[in-house]
Amino acid sequence: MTEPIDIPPPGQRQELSCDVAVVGGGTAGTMAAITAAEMGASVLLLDKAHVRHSGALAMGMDGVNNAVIPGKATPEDYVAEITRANEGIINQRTVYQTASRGYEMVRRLEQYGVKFAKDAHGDYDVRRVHRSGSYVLPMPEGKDIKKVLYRVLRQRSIRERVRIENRVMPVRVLTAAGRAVGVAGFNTRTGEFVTVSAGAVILATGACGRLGLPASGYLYGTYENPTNAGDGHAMAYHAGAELSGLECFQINPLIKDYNGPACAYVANPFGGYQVNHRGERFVDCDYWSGQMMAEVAREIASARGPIYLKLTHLPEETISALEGILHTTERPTRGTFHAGRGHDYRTHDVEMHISEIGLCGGHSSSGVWVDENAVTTVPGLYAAGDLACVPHNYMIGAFVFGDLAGANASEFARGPGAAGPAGPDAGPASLPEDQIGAAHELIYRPLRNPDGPPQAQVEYKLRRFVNDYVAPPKTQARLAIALETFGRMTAEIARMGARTPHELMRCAEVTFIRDCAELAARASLGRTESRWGLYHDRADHPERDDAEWFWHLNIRRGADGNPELLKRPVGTYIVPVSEFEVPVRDPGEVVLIAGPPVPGRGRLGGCRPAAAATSARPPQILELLRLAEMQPSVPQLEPYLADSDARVRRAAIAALTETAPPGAGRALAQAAGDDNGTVRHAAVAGLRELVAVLPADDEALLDSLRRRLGSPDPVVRSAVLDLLREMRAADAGPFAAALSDADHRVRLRAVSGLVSTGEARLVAGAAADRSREVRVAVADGLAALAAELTETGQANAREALERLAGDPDVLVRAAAFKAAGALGCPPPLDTLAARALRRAAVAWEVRAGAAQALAAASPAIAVRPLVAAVSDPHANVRKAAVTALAPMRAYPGAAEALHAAASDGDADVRAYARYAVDGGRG
Amino acid sequence: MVERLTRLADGRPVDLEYIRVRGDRVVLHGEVSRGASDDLLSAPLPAIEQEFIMPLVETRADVPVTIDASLCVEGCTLCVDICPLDSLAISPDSGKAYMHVDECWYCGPCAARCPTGAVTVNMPYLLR
Ligand SMILES: Cc1cc2nc3c(=O)[nH]c(=O)nc-3n(C[C@H](O)[C@H](O)[C@H](O)COP(=O)(O)OP(=O)(O)OC[C@H]3O[C@@H](n4cnc5c(N)ncnc54)[C@H](O)[C@@H]3O)c2cc1C
Ligand code: SF4
Ligand code: SF4
Repeated sequence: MTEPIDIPPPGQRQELSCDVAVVGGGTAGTMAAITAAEMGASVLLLDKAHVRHSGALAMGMDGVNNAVIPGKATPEDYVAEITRANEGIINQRTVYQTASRGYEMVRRLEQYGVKFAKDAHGDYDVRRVHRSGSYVLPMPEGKDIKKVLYRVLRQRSIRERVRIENRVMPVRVLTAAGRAVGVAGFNTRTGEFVTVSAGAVILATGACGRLGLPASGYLYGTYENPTNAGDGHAMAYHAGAELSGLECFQINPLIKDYNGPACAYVANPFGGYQVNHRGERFVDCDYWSGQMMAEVAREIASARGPIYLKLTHLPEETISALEGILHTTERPTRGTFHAGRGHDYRTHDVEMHISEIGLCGGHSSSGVWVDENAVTTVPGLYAAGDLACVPHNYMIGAFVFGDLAGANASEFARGPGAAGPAGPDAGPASLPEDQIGAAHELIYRPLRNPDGPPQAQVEYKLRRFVNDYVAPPKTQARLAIALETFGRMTAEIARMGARTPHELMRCAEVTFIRDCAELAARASLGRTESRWGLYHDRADHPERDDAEWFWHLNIRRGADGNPELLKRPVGTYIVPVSEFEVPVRDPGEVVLIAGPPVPGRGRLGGCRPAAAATSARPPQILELLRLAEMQPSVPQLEPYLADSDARVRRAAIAALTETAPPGAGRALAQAAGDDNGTVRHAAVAGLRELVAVLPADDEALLDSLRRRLGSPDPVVRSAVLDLLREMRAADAGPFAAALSDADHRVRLRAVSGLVSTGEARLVAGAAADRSREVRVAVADGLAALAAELTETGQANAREALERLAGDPDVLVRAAAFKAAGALGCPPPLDTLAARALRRAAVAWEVRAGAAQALAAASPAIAVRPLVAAVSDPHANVRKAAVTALAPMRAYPGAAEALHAAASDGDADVRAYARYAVDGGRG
Repeated sequence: MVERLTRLADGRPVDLEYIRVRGDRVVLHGEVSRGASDDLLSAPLPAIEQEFIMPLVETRADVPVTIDASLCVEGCTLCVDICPLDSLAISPDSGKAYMHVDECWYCGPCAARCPTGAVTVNMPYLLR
């Protein structure tokens, strides 16, 4: 990859064939490959990176953004919410798939071993993050999700049908008689030319993340994984497929410069929130949308900017717990970034900014036009994930549409009339040599001018122009300059120079970025109205124009080879949404829009395999790494687990966890007794990771776990308690015993265990614990058990909370009051709460808790102090008071107080008061 | 910069008046010297007047990821195999991993998966 190469003749190539070719092995692509294989298709999974750590999930994810879990939300709620977020322009049939199949997908992933947050009752712990809708399902061990998928791909039954080709990058979809018949690409390490003949092709190449230039100026410092350069968008377009909503950009509020999510929704339940420079909450919009981004952008630019994620007010323990999540998952280098500037959540609120623009179905709605079966407008071509236009689809939507694409493509490829390789003995179908030649030219052209401008400079310039002329606010004049500029840059891109296969990859990506930039500018120019807040803010057409524009805006390659824009009717809603009236139109009605002339496109032209990799003496670690590639059994790994070198033992544990062979649990439980601390910790981390797939009825495993409760290492003891709880493999016994552990972390786990086994009395008994954290956990635990308490349990809980309400520690008192609310706020807790709320000297956390308690108390006691609290100096107390007062608005004084709060300085208080006044949803 | 060249690559002595390097422009001027060989004596003297462009910029970058060669296991390629941007490579000289291009999403699997802890992600300089 670092060695210069020559151009290979087009005929000298690797020829592969399969039923279903999947381009991109990220979230959607791996699921597509697994489903297609399960349906009997032979699958080729091509990724320009390595499937194990590729795509948006390269380092995992900390939660599902959009899970519709029965009992927590309905598919109809979700479809209505996304319809609002997307201002009506939506094909509800696609979104309904994500809404109705998401739950099944969560269950499937759980079977594979992915862990989702559960509450004390073992139900999915769905959180409400934005003011409407409860769809966020945290994934406490989400860093391992790609590892789990990769493990499934390598199970024998799947492995026999799915061939993975890492570092192979398709650049064009090949078509014959208008249908997809394969792909052409190259190996980004060796430079070898590759063609694939396939019965169906699934594109799952993710977002176009390298469209705008990040404010840092660093080409790869993008919000999206920069591997995703818009490859699939360009491939779909050139294959003749329609794309839709390319004017509806993706823009996110992110940690400034770091450009990764601050994960406000991870921080939210811990008490973190977004503020402007004056410390005020300012977001009025209730759901994630372009409207919300417009508010954020406005606030940053105003005298009240910049904006921050506020965390400095949180106590030390909370901050360290938060760091434990934010610095290990999704974007684990967040910690390195802050430390590099000498910043710390304890001393510095996190400055936020908005990201560069991108094209992404997952976060907004731009992408390849698909129906509810992931079918594009080109027969045999499917699209899924961030690449497809299924609004706000996120991770679960990528899995759902990956699954749909896999199933439908496999049926198409193997069904009657399939054009692809019919069976094992059929030779590869003949592929269109002219298209192969064009793809060859596109790939290898830069080798002909090794001294041409290098990719980094060309790409920088291209993307700076995207910022200058395509990013909102948009105007006709700027967009016209954009088109002229991208046309001119076609020639510069054709002169770009490269010497190595790696550079060829980057050069091909620049062509994709240019194509996406041009298509995005054309679509933005076409839609002569403003919609989706910041995403499509046309300064010269500031109003939404439903009469003219209640349409999808699609773009495709016209008969003359130039892009053509067309309006497609919005289909009848399956879930009516009161704000929008869908014009009745014939679904087949399509309106072509005349556009400006198109700048010319570049044309394209011949190599030697690169030098072999170096090899050297392999120590045990090398043997292990090789072994891990071959699904080793536990006996094969045993010698390494017993090695005298702790590094080897740790590597063996990593291999064991990575591949999870039968018996892995027992071996890990064994290793949890290691003399070396780092080995023990690796073993328990492995057990935690695998807990969903450990056999809960394996007595030998459980026995050896229980033995570890006697470990001298509190980390091991805590982990074992968690494991026993999660495997539901213990009665109250071990948890009760652990209440007297010397280490407070172990006692914390004991409390969780007792909560999950419903032992209210024992939980209440821990209210006198000497650790503040444990006492807080007791209060929270009693709240979780509230619904199922017996009479004596009630009495125990009330007594414990009374004691905790008088605790010397602020956070314990706050938690006690909050729990009192869950328990119905029985006397004397109600009078205690009323008293606490009235006293300004009491810490605001306690006052907020007291307001939450009073929400459940008798209005006779609650209304007066709550009304007074609506003008509390602290916004969080006001927010709690407003929420508590909402159901009591018929009582004297309540309605007036709520009315006044509707114009509070704090956006959250305003919103909740508004809901209360309207009696509206929320 | 002006330097004196005395021999061509094939060993023939030359009498170059000068090589001038200005910016990325290199100018050779002079003639091949008369050697002892008869052929050369009878042949007309080839004059040299050549100008070519040589890119001179050698970009030095502060790289986002560093690898402690003393910890890197020779023969291992794990981080090189998994980097999504394919920015790590094995040095043919040392057999150890290094970052061959400044292209990095600071995503971290290289550091997380290295069995010996040799890899450090320091973040790209531009956003540090
Ligand atoms: C930082 C971040 C945080 C997020 N947080 C959340 C969250 O908390 N919750 C949530 O629900 N969603 C979240 N999302 C969104 C979610 O992760 C994505 O919507 C989803 O993973 C998209 O899956 P995908 O398969 O479309 O793309 P990806 O998973 O990115 O996969 C694309 C794949 O295609 C490959 N590829 C690209 N081009 C080519 C080519 N030419 N040839 C071969 N291979 C190619 C890439 O290497 C990659 O493997 C987040 C996204 C990001 C970036
Ligand atoms: S993973 Fe670690 S040991 Fe292996 S090549 Fe990379 S730096 Fe070297
Ligand atoms: S941080 Fe990510 S992109 Fe950077 S070198 Fe490591 S694996 Fe590659």
